Amino acid sequence: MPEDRIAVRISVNGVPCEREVPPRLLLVDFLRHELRMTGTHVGCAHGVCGACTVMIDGRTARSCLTFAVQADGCEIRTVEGLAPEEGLDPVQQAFHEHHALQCGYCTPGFLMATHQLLSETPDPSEEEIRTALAGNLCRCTGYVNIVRAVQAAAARLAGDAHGR
Amino acid sequence: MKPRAFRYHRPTCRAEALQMLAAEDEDARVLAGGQSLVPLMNLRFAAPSALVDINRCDDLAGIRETDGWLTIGAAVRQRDAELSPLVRRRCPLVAEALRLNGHPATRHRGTVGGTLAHADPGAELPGVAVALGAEMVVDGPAGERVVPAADFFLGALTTCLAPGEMLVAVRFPAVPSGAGWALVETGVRAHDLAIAGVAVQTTAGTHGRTTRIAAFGIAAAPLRLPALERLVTDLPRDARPAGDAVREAVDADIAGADLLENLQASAAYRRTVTAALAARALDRALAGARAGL
Repeated sequence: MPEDRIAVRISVNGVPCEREVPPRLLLVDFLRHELRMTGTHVGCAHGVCGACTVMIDGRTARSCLTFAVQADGCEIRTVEGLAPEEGLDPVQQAFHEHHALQCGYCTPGFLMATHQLLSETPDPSEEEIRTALAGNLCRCTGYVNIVRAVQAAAARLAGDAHGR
Repeated sequence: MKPRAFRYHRPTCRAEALQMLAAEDEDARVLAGGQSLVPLMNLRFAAPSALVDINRCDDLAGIRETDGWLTIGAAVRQRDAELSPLVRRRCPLVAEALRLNGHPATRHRGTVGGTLAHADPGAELPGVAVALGAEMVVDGPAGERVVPAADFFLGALTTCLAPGEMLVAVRFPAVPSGAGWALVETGVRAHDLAIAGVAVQTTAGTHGRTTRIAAFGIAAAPLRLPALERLVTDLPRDARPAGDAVREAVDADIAGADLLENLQASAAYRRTVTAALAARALDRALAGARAGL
């Protein structure tokens, strides 16, 4: 049975993309296979690990639990959309400086979840950081350096906000 | 691709969604946030023939208060309900259940109706719905009907929804003034599905105390705990229930229940931990009720 294909128009990091996709194509596979944007990783593919976290219309979501057809008309932001032309964004820079990654597989998801947290809670406590990131699994770091990196990113963003 | 192929429908209102669902076969499913259904589809534990995607049905996504009841549309995002000032003020136990339900990234997509209709035994909101005596608004080919929460949840991942029917809203009674409430649970990691949990709301009114308690995560469907409710209702003002009495009441309430037994916890553990969680929840709820007077 030939599968239906449905036209979607999805903006990814500000770039409009139009494709015809089968309804069962997951958003993460749309990003990786259709657009060849492989920064977003597939970990568990059933919503447990958070590696595939992206922003849909400004809020974090599991791209492995969303069909591409559901993102029709939406603004998607992926890890590729974080850094400026040159260098890293403050959260990426903090992860780099605090050695908050080892293999790096989970990192794109952690970066997106950290951006979500800091946009709502600019000065989070350690407990708030751990709660906000509890939906992201890292098998390497033991999380200590991730928490430190988020604290450093929060401090840097607060400093930037005060013009320092 | 991970899920099996399915027919996809994208209605823009409740009536159109019901029409599309009725026109499909009985293996069709409603797709809302997809945070429970899509994992099952990716693993191919579920293979619906068709999905009716209700994410564009704005008439299923409202929250309103009427006559002491808060009505939450089935497609309201969990995160939106959790942060809604109306929900926090009028149904704080619902906001608390949602706060504990999954992670921000899943609550941004997951819906209030979805976690109820999916009926996972470890989910918080079904427990709160049973505790508070919520009403489930169901619509389908035979018309709209209202089902008490206690009759809605039939077992693990099983509700009374018939093929072609859809949960369109849930109504929670607004919290009485001066009420105390608490939701206490335990799980493998914070915000995972609960191994056991207890939801309590208690009010000391002029006609005596009203208390509603349910346990979730311990059996296939949430359980009201009537013996424990009576124990609290009969308490003298400002008294706290004794630990032994709480344990006895919980034991009596769950004696006939078929407790879950799985890799996460044995039935015996669930029995013991439920009594401990109930004692903790009662302490908090009673302290909150006193503070609210």
